[in-house]
Amino acid sequence: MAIKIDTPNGQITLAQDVVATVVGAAVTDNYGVVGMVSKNILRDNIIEILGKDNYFKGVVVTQEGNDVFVDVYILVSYGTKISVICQNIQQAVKYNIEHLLGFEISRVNVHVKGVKVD
Amino acid sequence: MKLKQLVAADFKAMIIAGAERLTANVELINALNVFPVPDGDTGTNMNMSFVSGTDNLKLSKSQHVGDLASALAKGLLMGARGNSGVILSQIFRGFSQAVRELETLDAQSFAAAFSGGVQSAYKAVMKPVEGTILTVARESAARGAEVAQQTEDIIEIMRAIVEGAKESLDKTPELLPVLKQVGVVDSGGKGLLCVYEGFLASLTGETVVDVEQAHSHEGHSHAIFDEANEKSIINGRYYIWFLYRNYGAYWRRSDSYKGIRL
Repeated sequence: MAIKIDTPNGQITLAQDVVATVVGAAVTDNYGVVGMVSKNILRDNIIEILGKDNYFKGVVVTQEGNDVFVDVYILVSYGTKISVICQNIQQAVKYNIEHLLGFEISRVNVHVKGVKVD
Repeated sequence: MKLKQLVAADFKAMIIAGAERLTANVELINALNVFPVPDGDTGTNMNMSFVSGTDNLKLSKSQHVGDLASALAKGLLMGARGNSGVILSQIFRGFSQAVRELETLDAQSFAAAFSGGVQSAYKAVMKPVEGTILTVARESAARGAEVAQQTEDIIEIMRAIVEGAKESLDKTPELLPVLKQVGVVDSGGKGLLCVYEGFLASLTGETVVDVEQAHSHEGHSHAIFDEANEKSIINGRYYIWFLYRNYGAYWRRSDSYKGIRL
């Protein structure tokens, strides 16, 4: 679903893909994140790490009136403080969306789908 | 003077000296914070993480360097805050794994511990961003490993690591464009350099840490730590900081990103 922002000079529409790419880049820049994963885990519970072009599978952007919230699905590394990594992701996503795309988001929901042990 | 063996008491003093050096530079590091989110808290986060590590280290009475390093790593992991805090905890997790079996450190194992820290730190990230604390850690450890082939002196290795970290830090603006735009070096890298400088100062005897005395102050430092924690996390009070841009001052609430340009 595209995000629509009303401005005095007209409406700006941001495709889901655009938001997903910005969010995905912000998430994967975070330390401790091993990868983005699809929100729909495949059959047999095989977790596939998404490539750059598929970030939209692991990012869900929802708009309800003026409220926009984002869900991200990730894999983290074992031996890190996962709660802090999630907070870092929330900050980074919020900052990047508001800084680069110029709309406010109310919530960033982080779904940790797996932990990678090396 | 040469130092061929690092015993547990000296190791403990070295780590505590690193923490003190970091604490003394918190404000400076905060001011450099522009990446990944310019919220001016890198120094605070790193310091809280490292203090949590040293607090746990001080509780250990072990005379075994491997045990002490594990205590440090555990405290760091549990107290990690912010991106740089998590990275710092990973560096010392790798460090502790490299020295786990060792009661004392010689020059080779000392240098290898820093390299182990870097390897561990790079494992936990998908896209390592260069021009950050990771770069500084990697290049300084490589310098240490190089020098370790020619010397048995731990002080000389630590000096090489500090010099490597300094040079690497100076190059961070070349690697990370946002640093260059703003005209700063990387804040996390600066924090790591402070820790390493503290290590060196302790090894050379420039800074003398009384481990026992540091221990008796522990309740006090904990109280400060808790209070600061409460203020920043629970109450979400307002705080003010400045960005090194032409925009002037920004103020924001700590738990939201509604920036207002004054």
